[in-house]
Amino acid sequence: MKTIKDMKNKRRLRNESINSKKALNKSLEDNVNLFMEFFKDDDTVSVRYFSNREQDMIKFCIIYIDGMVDPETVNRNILQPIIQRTFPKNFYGNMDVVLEQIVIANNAEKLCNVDELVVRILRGESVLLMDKSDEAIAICTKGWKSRSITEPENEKVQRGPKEGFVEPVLVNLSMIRRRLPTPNLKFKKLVIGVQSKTDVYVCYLDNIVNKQILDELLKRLKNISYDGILSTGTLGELIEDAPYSCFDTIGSTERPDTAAALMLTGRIIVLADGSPTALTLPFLFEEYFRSNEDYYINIYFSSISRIIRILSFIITVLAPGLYVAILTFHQEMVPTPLLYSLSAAREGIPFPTILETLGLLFVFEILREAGLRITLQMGQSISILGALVLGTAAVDARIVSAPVIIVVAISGLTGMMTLKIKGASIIIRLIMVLLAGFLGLYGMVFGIMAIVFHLCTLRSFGVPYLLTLTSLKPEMVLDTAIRAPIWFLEKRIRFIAGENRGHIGEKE
Amino acid sequence: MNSLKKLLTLLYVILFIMLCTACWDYREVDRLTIVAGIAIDKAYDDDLLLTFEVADLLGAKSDKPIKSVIMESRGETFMSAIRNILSKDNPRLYFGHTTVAILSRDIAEEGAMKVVDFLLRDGEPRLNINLFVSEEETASELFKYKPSLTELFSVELTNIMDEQKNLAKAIPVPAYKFVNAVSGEGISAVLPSLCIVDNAEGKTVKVCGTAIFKEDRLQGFISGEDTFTLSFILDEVKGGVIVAKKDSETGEKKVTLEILDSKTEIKPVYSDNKISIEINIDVKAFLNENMGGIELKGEDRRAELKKCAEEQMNVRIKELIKKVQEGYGADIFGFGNSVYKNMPKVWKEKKDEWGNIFRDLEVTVNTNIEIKHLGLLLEPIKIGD
Amino acid sequence: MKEVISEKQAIIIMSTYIIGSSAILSAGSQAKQDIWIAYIIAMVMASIIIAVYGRISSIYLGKNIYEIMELVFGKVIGKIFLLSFMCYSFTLGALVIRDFAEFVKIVSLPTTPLCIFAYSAVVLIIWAARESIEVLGRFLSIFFPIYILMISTVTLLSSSLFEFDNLKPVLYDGFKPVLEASYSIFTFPFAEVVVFLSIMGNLNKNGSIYKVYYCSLLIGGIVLFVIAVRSLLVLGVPSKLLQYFPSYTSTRTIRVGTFLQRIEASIAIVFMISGFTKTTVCLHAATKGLAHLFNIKNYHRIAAPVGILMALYSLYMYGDAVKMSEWTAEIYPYYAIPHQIIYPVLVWIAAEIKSRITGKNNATLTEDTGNTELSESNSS
Repeated sequence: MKTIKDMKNKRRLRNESINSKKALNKSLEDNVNLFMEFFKDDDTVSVRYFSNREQDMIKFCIIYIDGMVDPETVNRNILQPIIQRTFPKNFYGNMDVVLEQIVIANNAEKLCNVDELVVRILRGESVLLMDKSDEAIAICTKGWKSRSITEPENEKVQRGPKEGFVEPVLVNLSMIRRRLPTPNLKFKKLVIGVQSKTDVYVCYLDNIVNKQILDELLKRLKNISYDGILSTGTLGELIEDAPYSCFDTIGSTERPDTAAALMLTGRIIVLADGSPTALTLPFLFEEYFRSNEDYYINIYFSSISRIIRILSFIITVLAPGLYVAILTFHQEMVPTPLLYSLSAAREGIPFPTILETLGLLFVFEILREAGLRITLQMGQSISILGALVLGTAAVDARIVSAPVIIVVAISGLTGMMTLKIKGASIIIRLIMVLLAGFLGLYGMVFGIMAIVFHLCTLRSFGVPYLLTLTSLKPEMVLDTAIRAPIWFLEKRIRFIAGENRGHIGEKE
Repeated sequence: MNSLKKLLTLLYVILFIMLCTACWDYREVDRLTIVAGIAIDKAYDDDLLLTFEVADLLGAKSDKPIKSVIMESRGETFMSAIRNILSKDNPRLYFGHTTVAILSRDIAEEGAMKVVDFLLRDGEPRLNINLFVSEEETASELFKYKPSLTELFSVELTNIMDEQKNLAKAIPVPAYKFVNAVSGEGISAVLPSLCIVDNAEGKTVKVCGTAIFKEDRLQGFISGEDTFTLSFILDEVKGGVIVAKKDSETGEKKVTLEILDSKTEIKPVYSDNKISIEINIDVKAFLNENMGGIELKGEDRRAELKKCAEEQMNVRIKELIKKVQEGYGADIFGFGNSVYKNMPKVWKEKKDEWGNIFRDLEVTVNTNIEIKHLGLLLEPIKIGD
Repeated sequence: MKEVISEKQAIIIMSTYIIGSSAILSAGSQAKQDIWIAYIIAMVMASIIIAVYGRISSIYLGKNIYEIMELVFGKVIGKIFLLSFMCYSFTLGALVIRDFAEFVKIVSLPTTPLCIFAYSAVVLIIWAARESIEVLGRFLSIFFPIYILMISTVTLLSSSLFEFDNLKPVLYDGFKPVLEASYSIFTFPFAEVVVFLSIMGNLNKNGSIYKVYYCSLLIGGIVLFVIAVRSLLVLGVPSKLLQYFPSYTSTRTIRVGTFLQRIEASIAIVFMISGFTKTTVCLHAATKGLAHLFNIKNYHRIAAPVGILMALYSLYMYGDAVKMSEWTAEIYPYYAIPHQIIYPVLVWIAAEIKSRITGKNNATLTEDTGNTELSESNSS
């Protein structure tokens, strides 16, 4: 752990992007030039001079960036009142009056620090300057086009809300707030990223959250010094407990209902501006196999789906390795008729089983990756078609044997069931095949033991990664491989939630 | 940089593992010659002559059945014979799926243990490989005849032995049970025997009886009928049919009883310094066939039939025991074993002279056949004018 | 943070430890068909010595055997005892590694060099010993149910092959071989829990030491009893005595239908898990001892060198498998006497006297189990 921290510290970037410490002065010309020095060679910055039609002595100037502001708002709420309205009598070039009585904007602020103003402009606000004033008003005129709220592609449900997070963080916050309208819901804002200055919100329910975990999270977030937080994924990597592990110790979701449900269990959500994916923490291993839909549908159906998901993971990880192990080391384990057909199928194949399996797994991953980068519908069909054509052709040409194709296809198909753990499963599958080729089943058992042991050592923000599976307490298992009826799940897990453990009928 | 080094070390280890693959015990399944059955003969100069039935997968396509190939090899010992076949440009023999081992008469007479030892000691052959003795001149000739149903003789033989649960015409003996019987106290081993018989499509191989061993040496064979009786004594019957004959005015009438369940208890009795054995057989059966049209209405008629069947069973069992006692002197019924298990003190005294005691052992047989039902028909079919 | 294990975790670690390599090797085969009596007697014998072990740990709560030895015998004599006890754990761990390597080599990978198995096993074991014992507890809480399930499934599947006649006759050769057998079962594996004296100090405050010992003895004993009796019932006396790994070979005979057969790998997996646990505990104890001997603060750091030594020692301790099995059958029972009986009893007597002398303030000997903030053992 220490080394990881060191590396993170080394990565800290000290070059603050804007650090001029300049201040405005009384000359409008000078002030505008001050700004234009920052925006040299940036042609999207608009500067417009104007004045009131009655008092044309006092010049105004507004600076904003095209595309970042909503022109409608700028025209109606800034230009129109200043140009058309009669100024109050007490005006006399007083900026406060402009702020308080003229500009129509819900969010406006008087500032005189140039650095701060530049940042505001960069974030889509408009800065209003006035002649003979060493102050400026930053007016919120943010307005840009963003994606509409759609159902997240990766976390589709049949039943349940179809809303998904979008890029603007405030919209996301509103989606969460709508689900949990309680004053206990807290959004803590941090600005992270030396260049990107991304707004990061830490969301939690104050009465449920485990304060230790929250403090630890805030500490880690504050320690981050990195160029650009363009996605929560980057953020997650920077604050993860075990970044070298192939398993994630921080979860992610694109669904506000999942986020809200997780917060109700005491987990913390981290949202960043510009990223439709929220981080959830602490994250337990079982959450890989959990979908929020499980809680919206019949208990038996959701329990079966969960078991299938877990089995799929086991199959996808072990199937190719098991095939190699059995076919090359433990032929005695196969029933006799099956051994005959396997042996017959391998007749005349030039490659050893292990290379055959590895090669086909590689081809499968290529197909998957290729399918991922084109549109979804097309990608899927290409994957299947490619596998089929490649597969049958290869079998007919006696380059690979049919059982390998079946095994790899099963492994790939079951891998689709648990998309979130995909990265880990590809690596483990590969390791398993290598170990199987090394020591057969014994190698594989060593591998499985090593992986489970690794999982046991992992912690997510101090919470054991396999908490529920290894607690040896029956009530902990109720919501893991199966989903017990909701009224059985009334206790929150103490580790994750603070002392407030009741779920149902809780007094505020 | 420490962690980078660690990462590199890890990568190196993985690479090392990769380099290690495809060596040592890594063997491709298509490079194996999967042996289905072994026949063990004696060559003219005391060597072992092994004949292997091997599944021929080379020309196998999914729509064609698997053919068998016969391979032969000689050597001073079992293992050396196997190694000799390698030098004949054949791939490695693999015994993990061998289900059948047939001993020739010569080998069995000389002592079966010396070949069975390999089957148990080596890691590859299964413990429950079925052992047979060939009644023919050699064991290898059995492989020459085509099995009637499947393509591999050994597979068919295994299927037949599996079916014996419901027939009781042969007693399957896995290798480990043979060892138990050979080295166990007061019991002699038996193995099923194979012979060549004529069939509608030509000659074929059949399980035709039982080979009797004393210690690990073959003493002789008993017929299939006797085997059925023997399996009653050994409590191996789980199914099968009993044909009961009944004399009447119009001649002998036959009735078939199908066995539902059977239980045998061998009880040693010790009195006046003399051991005798009591065999209690409890059979549950139902009437399956009434060839002679015997009238079965009424309790006493059924009791009569029952008694008749029981009587015939008793006689057959006694005859067999006598035959074995006099002919072979091998306690294949495990009478001594039952003494050892139930009266250990008596056994300690009589252990050494058991061979003689067995020859004159008095055996009483009580068979009880319970007829559960009479099939679908209430009465015999009337033959009208 | 001090390592703390909960009572349940300790029980599963210890019962898996007891099953250990006995899952495949059969101790006490001289009892023949009376092995079940031998097991029961051995368990009774073990329950007596276990009371001594439990008493030692509960006099000095929160202390491991090395600290206790130094406390009761003083620095010099304590260190001699410590060295001997450490060597015992070390040898035991090496023995289990060797058992595993021989098993795999004989059973399925005959041409692979022995050292490969030992090295690949020890990599995992070192890793496990470098983590706290609590992680091993968590690891086993996943595998233990699977483990028990496997053993019971195998037992159920082989039940059709049971011949209860194989248990007869009872005590044919008299009591002597049965007693001999039960003594060798007592030394291997039951009394081997003496190694846990170095770990019981980590038991969490509200866990009962005696309960851990007795529950584990019961669970481990029952499992071993079932395994031994199962192979006897399936194979019968002559065949079972012939076998090197009776429980493995008896599983080979299972044949349910045509498809459910050839499942002996399950026994191999069971053995790998229990052998891994046993070696890890032994390595843990040995490193703890060595660290104590040389005043090394963080004993986890020397797990790697000690573990590699253990693997090397396991390869050189016997020439071949036959010598190994002869040694375990004939010499080990005597080798075990001082470590399993004499030392613990001496420590116990000395500790009793010492604790009487130091008087009533026993409480000073107990140590606070430390920060259990984020350890789940405290969460109940």
